[in-house]
Amino acid sequence: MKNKWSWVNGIIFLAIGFLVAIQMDSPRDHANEIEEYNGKDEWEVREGLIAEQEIQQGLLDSIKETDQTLSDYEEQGKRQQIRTLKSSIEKLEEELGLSEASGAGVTMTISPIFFENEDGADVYPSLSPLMLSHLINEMNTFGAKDIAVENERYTLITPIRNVNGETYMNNRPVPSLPLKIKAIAEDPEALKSYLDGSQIIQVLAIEDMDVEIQVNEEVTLPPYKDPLNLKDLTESTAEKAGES
Amino acid sequence: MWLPIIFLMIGLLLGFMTDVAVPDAYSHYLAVVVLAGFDTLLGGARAHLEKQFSDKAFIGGFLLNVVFASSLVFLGRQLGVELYLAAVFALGVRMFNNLGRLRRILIDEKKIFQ
Repeated sequence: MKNKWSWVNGIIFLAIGFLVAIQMDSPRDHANEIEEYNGKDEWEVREGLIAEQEIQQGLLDSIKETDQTLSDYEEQGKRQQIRTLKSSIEKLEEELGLSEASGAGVTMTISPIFFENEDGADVYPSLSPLMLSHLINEMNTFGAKDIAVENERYTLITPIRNVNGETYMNNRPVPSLPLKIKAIAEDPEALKSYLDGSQIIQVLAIEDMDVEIQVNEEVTLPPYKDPLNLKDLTESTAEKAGES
Repeated sequence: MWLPIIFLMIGLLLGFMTDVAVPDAYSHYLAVVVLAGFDTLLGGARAHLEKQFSDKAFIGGFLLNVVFASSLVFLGRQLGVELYLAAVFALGVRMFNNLGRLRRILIDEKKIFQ
C-alpha cells in the first residue's frame, strides 16, 4: 500500500513539473508580437523585416550625418564653424519649409464642376478642411516631400481649420476654387499615378470638384512666412528612437 | 527523498520537450494550478521535515487546491470579476507561511547555517 501511494506521489510531482514547464514555455510578454506574426505568411514577415531594415538604415544614415556635422564643428576654425552652423540652419529651414523649395513634382488643379440646382442658381462647390487635410495626408502617404496649396506652404505645424464656414490654412483663408496644389516628390510620375487612383479624387468628384494632375520637371514652392510659434513645444525626453 | 526530485525533473523535461503551449484564454487557469503546485511542493517539504508527511493529505491537498482554485477562476470569469486573484493571494500567503516554517525548522534543527 505504501509503495503504491508513493508512486501516486511521484505522478503528482511529475504533473507539477510538467505544468511548471508549460507555464514557462507559454509565451507571455511576447504574446502580442508573436500574435502579430501568426496570421502572416513568410512573405509578409519578410516585408516587415525589410521595412525595419530600411528604418534602421535611415537611422544609421542620420547618425552618420550628425556625426559628420559634429566632427566638422570640432575640427574647423571659428569662421568655418559659423559657416557650418549656417549651412545646418539652412538645411533645417529647408526641411521645415521655411525656405523656398523647388524640384520635380506635380501640380494638382482642383476646379469646380458647375451645375444648376432646381432653382436655376449655380451651386459652387468648396474644398472643406476635412477634404483638404485628407488630400494632403494622401499626398504625403504617396511620397510628396513638400506641399503648397496656392501660396501657402504646408509645414508640420500648419493648421487647417474651418473658420466661419471657410477653409483656413496657416491662419489665412484658402482661395476659392479653382486652386492649385503643388508638391515636390522624388518620383512625380509615381505620385501622379497613385493620386489618379486614390479614393480622395473620387470623393472630390462626388463633391463636384474636378481634379487634374500634371507632372512638372520644375515646381517651386513658396516658403512658410509666419514666425514659428513653438511655445507649446517642449524638449522631447523620450529615449526611444523613432518616436515623434 | 530523491524520488520526488527526480520525478519533478522528469516532469520539467517532459514539459519543455513536448513544447505544449496553453492558449491565452486558459493562462489564468494554468497560473493558478502552477501556484497550487508550488504550494503543495512547499507544504510537502515542510510536512516531511516536521515528520508529519501523509500521502493522503499531500495528494488530497493538491487535488483540492487545484480544483478549488480553478473553480474560482471559472466563477470569476462567469461573474466578470477577477476572482482568480483571491486564489493567487491565498496560495501566495500559504506559500510564504510554508516557506517561513521551513526556514525555522531548518534553522532550529541546525541543518544549515553552520
